[in-house]
Amino acid sequence: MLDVALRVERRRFAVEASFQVGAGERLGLFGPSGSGKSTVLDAVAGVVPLDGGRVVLEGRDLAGVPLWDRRVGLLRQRPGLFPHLSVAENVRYGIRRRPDGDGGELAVREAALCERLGIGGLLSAYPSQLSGGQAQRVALARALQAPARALLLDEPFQGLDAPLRAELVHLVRDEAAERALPVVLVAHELAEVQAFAERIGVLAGGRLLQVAGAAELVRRPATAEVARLVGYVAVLPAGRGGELVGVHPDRVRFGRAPEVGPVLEGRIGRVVPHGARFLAEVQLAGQPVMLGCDLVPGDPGAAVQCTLVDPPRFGPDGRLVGGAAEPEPRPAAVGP
Amino acid sequence: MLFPSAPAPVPGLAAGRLGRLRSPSAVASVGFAVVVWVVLLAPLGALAAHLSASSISSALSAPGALSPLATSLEASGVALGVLLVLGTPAGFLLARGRLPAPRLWEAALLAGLLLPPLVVGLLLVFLVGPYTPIGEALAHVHLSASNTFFALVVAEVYESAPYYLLGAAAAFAAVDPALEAQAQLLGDRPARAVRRVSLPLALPGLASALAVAWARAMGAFGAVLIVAYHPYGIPMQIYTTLDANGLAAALPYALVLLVVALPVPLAAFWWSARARRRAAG
Repeated sequence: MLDVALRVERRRFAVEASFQVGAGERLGLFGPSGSGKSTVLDAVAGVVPLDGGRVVLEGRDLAGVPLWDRRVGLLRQRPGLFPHLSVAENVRYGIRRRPDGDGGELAVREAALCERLGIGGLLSAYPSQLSGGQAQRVALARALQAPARALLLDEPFQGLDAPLRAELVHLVRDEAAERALPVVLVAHELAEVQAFAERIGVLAGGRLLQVAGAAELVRRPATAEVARLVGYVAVLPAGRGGELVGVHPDRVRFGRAPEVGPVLEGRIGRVVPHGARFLAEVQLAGQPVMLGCDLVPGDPGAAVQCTLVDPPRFGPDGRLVGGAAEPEPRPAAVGP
Repeated sequence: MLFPSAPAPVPGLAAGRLGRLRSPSAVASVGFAVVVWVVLLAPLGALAAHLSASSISSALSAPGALSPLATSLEASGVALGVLLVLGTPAGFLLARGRLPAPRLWEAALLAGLLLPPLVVGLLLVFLVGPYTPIGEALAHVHLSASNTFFALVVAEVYESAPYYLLGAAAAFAAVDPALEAQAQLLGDRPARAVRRVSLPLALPGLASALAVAWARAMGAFGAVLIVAYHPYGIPMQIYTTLDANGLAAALPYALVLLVVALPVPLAAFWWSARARRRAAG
């Protein structure tokens, strides 16, 4: 289990975050660029010193523990391979041969890992000969081969194509579960974090605003600020004593369906294609809002009714009211 | 044919390297480079033109003629050893900003680089001369920094150290500290991370710095003239021969100095450039 409560002073603000990640659990940290996500990971890894708080891994307080003894693996967007070593030497870099003769087992594990990562044929190549995707896979193999007890991933799949990214996400999930590793992944794309993590923390301006289940976070953001960060495009009044509702472009139905949520009257503006769907600009409560739809909802200027599907409701203070979040999915085994 | 089997030849590329000379600016830049090389190498040409095989053999076959060469090689070898052992860690600490008051260290190094060697020699007399505290301390261990082999080594170290230290610091500074941190996160203690990652990556730069330091040590003259007139190293042999017997007699020793001092740095530079090219893929 990784237990973190830290404070790191930065030039513009202090980064403060508290969270726990159980053995085999995957936590995602999501937030805009410059929100302090990477600082949190660097502080847990020990690359950046803490200005307060502590990091406890498997019951051991890591305060004052040097990098080489923390047993924390860190994988960044830049793979950081050792350019003078071959792929095989990079992958084996963190392995210490022990006298109990587990070399054979390690070699088998290494071969299986490299095969699964598709780098089995590259073992004698050097980093300068690898593509970006190959280099990142080698860096992942290196991080997984080292005897780390926690894994920190700082946007490691950024810039990789979607099938490769999905494969790597699968692989890390399997490894984390098999070795009971707490894993923290940082990304500035919500979808990437959702694809990987069971729970997601939202960071902005150095503060951890909310930690919730991957699906729950979008359905029940704790505040209007979190709602905006996770993709809500507007927070509008919806009757009932100054209550506000969040409008998410993918959680809206054109037409009237009061059984699934509040219905708002609006007027259609321009409609633009968006992938296989459309984005329609609709004037709702005097605000232009871009909403997703499967079909063109009507001609420009036409009146339209929009049903917000089970939207989060916020009080005048911007905090979530009603519709309390369901219990978070927690890992079965949480403990050192 | 939708997909041509081979790309069409690109004009200019087909002509290979000569194709680069087609523009007037390319011709001008090559011409300029040739002029610079001719000017730089002209003294070597003059040396070759004024030497004959008989003059070289008669000068070098005289009894004890090659002992200054041996003295220079030994003293420079020791000086380089000192620089390697002390200068390499110091260059690393400088590059990583781990020394207190780093600007002061840099300024001191630059001062060492900019001071005329003759002045360095004068200052060394005041620092380690026989009537100074350091000189007296050296005398206790039967060493003297005045007209001894030890003094020659000291003078060569002082003349070459700034070149090696600055070169070593630049070589280590070019290694991304994040790689060292990564090595430590993978379980290496700091010294082991430096040995496995930083040192191999800095090696081409260190080789260049060492080559320059070797050339400076072998050719050290200004400080040597003041503190180590004896025993003669090869630069001093050139000077005294020139003084006593004239230009023609000194030239064979100049050739010997070049032949001995130049190949090592040239080989190191060649290896260093090749290693850098290979690292860049």
